[in-house]
Amino acid sequence: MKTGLHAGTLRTTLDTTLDLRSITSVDLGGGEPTSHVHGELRSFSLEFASQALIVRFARLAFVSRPGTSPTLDLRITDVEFGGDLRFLNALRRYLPSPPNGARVTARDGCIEAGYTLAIPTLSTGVFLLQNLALSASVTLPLDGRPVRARFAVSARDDPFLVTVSLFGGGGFVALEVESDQVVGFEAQLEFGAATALNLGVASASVAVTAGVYIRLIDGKAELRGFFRAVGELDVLGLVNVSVELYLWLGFRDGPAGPEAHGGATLTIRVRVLFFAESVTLTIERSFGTGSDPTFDKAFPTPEPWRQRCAAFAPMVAP
Amino acid sequence: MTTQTVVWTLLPDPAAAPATAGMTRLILLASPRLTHDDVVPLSRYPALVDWPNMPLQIAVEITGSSGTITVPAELIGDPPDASVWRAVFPPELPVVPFVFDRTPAETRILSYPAEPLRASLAAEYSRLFRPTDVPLPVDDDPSTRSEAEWAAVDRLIRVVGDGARERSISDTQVGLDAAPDDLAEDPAGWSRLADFHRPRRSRDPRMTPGLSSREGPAERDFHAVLAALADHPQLQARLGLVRELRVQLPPGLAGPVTIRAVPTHGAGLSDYRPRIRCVAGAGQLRLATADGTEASLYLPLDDISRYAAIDVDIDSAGLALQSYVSALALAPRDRLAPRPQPPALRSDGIFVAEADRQISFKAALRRAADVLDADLAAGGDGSTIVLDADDVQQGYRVDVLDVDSGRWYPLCRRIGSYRVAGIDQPLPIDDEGTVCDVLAASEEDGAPAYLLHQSLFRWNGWSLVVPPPGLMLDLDDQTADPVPEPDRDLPFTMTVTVAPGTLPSLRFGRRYRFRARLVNIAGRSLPFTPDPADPTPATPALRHSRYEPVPSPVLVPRRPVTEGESATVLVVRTDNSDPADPRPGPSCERHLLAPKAAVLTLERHGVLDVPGENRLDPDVYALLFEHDQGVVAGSPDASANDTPFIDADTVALPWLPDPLAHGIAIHGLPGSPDLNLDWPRGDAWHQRLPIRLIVQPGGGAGPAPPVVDTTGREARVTLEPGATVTMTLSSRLREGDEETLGTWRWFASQDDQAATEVTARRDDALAGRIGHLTPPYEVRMIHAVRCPHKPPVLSVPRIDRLPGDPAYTLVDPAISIHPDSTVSVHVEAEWSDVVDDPTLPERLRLRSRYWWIDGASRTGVSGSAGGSGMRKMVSNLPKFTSVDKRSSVPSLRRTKRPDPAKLAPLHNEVLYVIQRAVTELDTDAVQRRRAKIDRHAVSVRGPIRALPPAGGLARAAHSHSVSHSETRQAPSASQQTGPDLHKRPSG
Repeated sequence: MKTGLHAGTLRTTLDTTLDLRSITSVDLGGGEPTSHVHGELRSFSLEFASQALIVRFARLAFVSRPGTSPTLDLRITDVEFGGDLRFLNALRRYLPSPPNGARVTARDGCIEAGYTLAIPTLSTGVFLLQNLALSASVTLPLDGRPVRARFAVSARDDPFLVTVSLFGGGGFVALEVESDQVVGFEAQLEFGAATALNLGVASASVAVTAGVYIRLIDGKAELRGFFRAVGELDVLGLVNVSVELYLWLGFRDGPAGPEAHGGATLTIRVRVLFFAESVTLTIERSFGTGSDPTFDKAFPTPEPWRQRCAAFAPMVAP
Repeated sequence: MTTQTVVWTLLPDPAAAPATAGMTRLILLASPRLTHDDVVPLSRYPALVDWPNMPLQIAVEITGSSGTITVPAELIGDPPDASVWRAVFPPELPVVPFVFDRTPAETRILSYPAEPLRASLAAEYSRLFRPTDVPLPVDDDPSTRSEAEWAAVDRLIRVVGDGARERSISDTQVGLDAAPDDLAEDPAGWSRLADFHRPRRSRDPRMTPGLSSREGPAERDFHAVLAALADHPQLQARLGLVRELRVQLPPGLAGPVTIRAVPTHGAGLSDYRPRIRCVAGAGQLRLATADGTEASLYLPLDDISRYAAIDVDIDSAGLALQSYVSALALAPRDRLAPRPQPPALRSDGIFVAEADRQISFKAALRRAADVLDADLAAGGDGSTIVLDADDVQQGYRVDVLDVDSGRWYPLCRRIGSYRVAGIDQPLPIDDEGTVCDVLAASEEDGAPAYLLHQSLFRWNGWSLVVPPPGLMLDLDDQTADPVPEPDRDLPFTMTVTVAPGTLPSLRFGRRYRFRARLVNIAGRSLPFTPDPADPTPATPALRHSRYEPVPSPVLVPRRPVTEGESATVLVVRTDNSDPADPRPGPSCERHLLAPKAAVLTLERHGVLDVPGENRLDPDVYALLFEHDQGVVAGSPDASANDTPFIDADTVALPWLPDPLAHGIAIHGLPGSPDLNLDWPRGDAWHQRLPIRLIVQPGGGAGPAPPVVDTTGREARVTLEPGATVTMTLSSRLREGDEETLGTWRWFASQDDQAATEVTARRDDALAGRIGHLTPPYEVRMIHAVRCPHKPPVLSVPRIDRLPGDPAYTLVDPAISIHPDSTVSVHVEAEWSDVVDDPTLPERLRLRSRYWWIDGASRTGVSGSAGGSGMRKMVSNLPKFTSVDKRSSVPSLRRTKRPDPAKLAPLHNEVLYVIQRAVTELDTDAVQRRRAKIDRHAVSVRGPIRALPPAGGLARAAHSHSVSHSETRQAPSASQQTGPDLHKRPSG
């Protein structure tokens, strides 16, 4: 077989083999003629959206035998995410086809091979993703429509849970590719955290809320994000300002893999510029590495929790 | 040339208690501006080296309608502390010459209208508020329905936009300082929201984090430290930058006046003394607005046309919805419209937004640059400048009224201490911090721009001015103490905490009002009072709602998954290859667990509170410590990529459940469309015991309702042979919970909402059918059999052919099959027909076989009419692969594929169409067979290994198979061994 990239999607190597057989048998003694069709492609990969998604297959086989419906056997060995989707690589271990193979169904003139997994926890750096529902499927229509592959982690309306310390958030991924192009892609991750912000020599601690939204625009994955920090920005114990500030947010390569990265150059107390110079801060923050703190990590001793509780007034009707 | 300018601003003191008549308290703020050709140490500015010891005398010049008088003022309060001054402003401190930064005044400010966007969001979510599984009426015309659904999709795309291709808004703003909220081309602000959050680079792409007072080398210079002091009014007073004065007003002074400081100091300062607009009356001076009327000391938050308290995270919601709209825009138009599935929303405290904030903010910046600073720069002494209330305001101190407890609580109170370099004793702090403004530098079309959010302040349950206790994530994402060791080199450091017992608690379902006390440039505001009787401008009461949906239950397999099974596909099997002795396989089970909630969600729901006090209980520490880290811990299932299974009758809930997840709601079970179960409860709120869902193979006795055992911990579902049931599973609310959920309140409070509609949707909500509130997921349950549960039975089949018609038609008005386990029925028929050809010695016998029943056509619901696999089928009747592909059988050549749609209306009639038969001569037994065909003796062959009845002239052999359908076979990657349809009947 010719090796290389075909139709922008199919990557073949020297190991790739294609086996196509069609056998029709006629029983000269008056028996039933039968027809077998067998097609099998081994050791190849599909690449979508400039290698944003690479799916490596051990085997893709289509078998049609008399007396049975046609079947599709699919063995995925590896799925790799690139570009803005790199953060999904934490899911890689769940993406190869399970040993039992995928569930094969035939309906609406299509054969579909797929499976679902319930993943209790997934640690992606500082984020602890919990209770994820992963599903993957490939649909082979029998009527000439393009092949479709769909991959989803939880759902837009039913996101998985993201926790960082006390804070909750959510996320989901939905990816749909059709023959040679990505036709639908949405990924979202929202989280909160009590965290330090990097101010160069100083760091300040605030409560942040952030969201990353990746979708498909004109065939390319596009990222939007917001990163909001609320509370008291304590810079070196010197500048204390209470603000709500917004940083831009994106993904970038960090030392230990992809990380969410935000920043801003902020000018504080501009309104009273006539009376005092305003304070300009350049802030940045990356999230990626590190361990995900659960409550026991954020409050290893009861004292800070007691302090937190003690701050509140009883709210009792007189 | 060295200049030492001081701007002296004299202000009425809003914090002072009313003194005796005619004696008023004023505050004097000194704002030094030092300039020189170069960076020099502070010692080069002699007046500032020992500022506290400067012999300062102040008089007050009062100008009213009757002229100007000057009255002496008495400096009161503690005298400034020279040692603190020298510690904070040592003589060697570099002084970078003061330059008024005109950039903010001359740069565009981008914002987006918050409240219109929230209203649009509420309207769109309300429009989409409907049950996830509304059965469509059977007679509903799919084409009209589809049109209406596409119209709804188009509408959403039009309103919300995907935020990617709409840059026209910013084009219309070119040249504007700031665009007003009300823009005809972007009425709800969706385009501006997208633009606001568009990824931008800072002006410096390399972006070195740091603190600087300006573009320049010095990180810490005189003016930067001075600026940093703005949030430290106590320290300002100690340094002598803020002084308290007492003034005896002339008797009878009333009406609009201006006041102005007259300092005497003997130092070589150049004094700039603007006038301050006030109103005199009752022996007091009060700050006035530009029009001369008394200024409020509160932000007018009661003006609902300008201010709105909002508790949904509109940034998150807006971006998520636009992302969804981008996906909708890609949906193929030749298919049915996708089912609406808008993104889950989220809450992030409550914020107060100001309409057109960017406009008023910009005006203030312009005025500071073009009027105030221009006058100073031109050498004025301030006599022509009149400052009003707006000019001297630097921020807010925010209070919350909890409506039910009926008092105000402060959000900006702080206590702690300052440590000043060179001073041994820490200086105590007991004051209030200030919420102030921030602009984020950005660019727009290559030109610099600032981003300004309309949110004035946001209360997320904690103090606005103190960092929360507990460890936070440091820059390496490791947990660390939030209070770093203070740098001893700093002139001063501050350590503050919340004053104990002062903060209000943010809880879902409670009603809150907000007020904002204005803080002037001297750091003074009205003092806090808890008394609600004191009427103050505040936002209307907002009932705090939760916008996050209640997640669906968590599902854990009991055993390793079998072939074709996966987390949400439950498979049981019966081996019925011997119909006389069907062998049912084992059950398939899942543990269902109440979904986990983050600690803050629990806190907002009040489940962690001291009973009756609505505040956090320190004793919940142990509970949180133990449970927040809990995860499903089972054995890894190698056949499911090591996801866990737990082989036990019961499991414990490892985490703290979402307080609103009271139970599970299952729809679509056989024999009982809705099954609603409450989690079996323990004594404590969080004890919600998992339920085990058991699916077991049934014997074909007919659909039976699910059985729930007496403990409520087991739900048993029996599946008919061959049955495939798709059910949806969601969490279940308790009556009244819906009122806590924001999307419900949006829907129920829409202006044009009919009461009957609200009632109907409330029922749906409580039954777990509204995806906005309790999103469902699909679970498939399959009872796989090897052969059809019952053989097909033909009633009165006949073979017809019209004269001249090249096709024969086999018609049976009422075939009976077991639909769940029968995919297709294959018919073999033989019949004779007369060939009108005298050259032939005998009659021609036709013999042929044909297999194909489209089961879907039998029911009138075909897969394609129901919607391309994207929509759940209404009927449980099976869908069949419509056409057998094996058309290469030589004895039968199909010239045309029958159109299943045309067969659809026949319902109980099965149509067999033979397009063309190949003829062959029969030299024997024609007469015998012909006799039989005349009697329409068509027989049916039963289970595949059973012998057919005695042969007839015309024989229809019906064999059937389970191997074609995903829904009735054990789903498998490998081929099932189905019966060989081509085996000739042995009879």
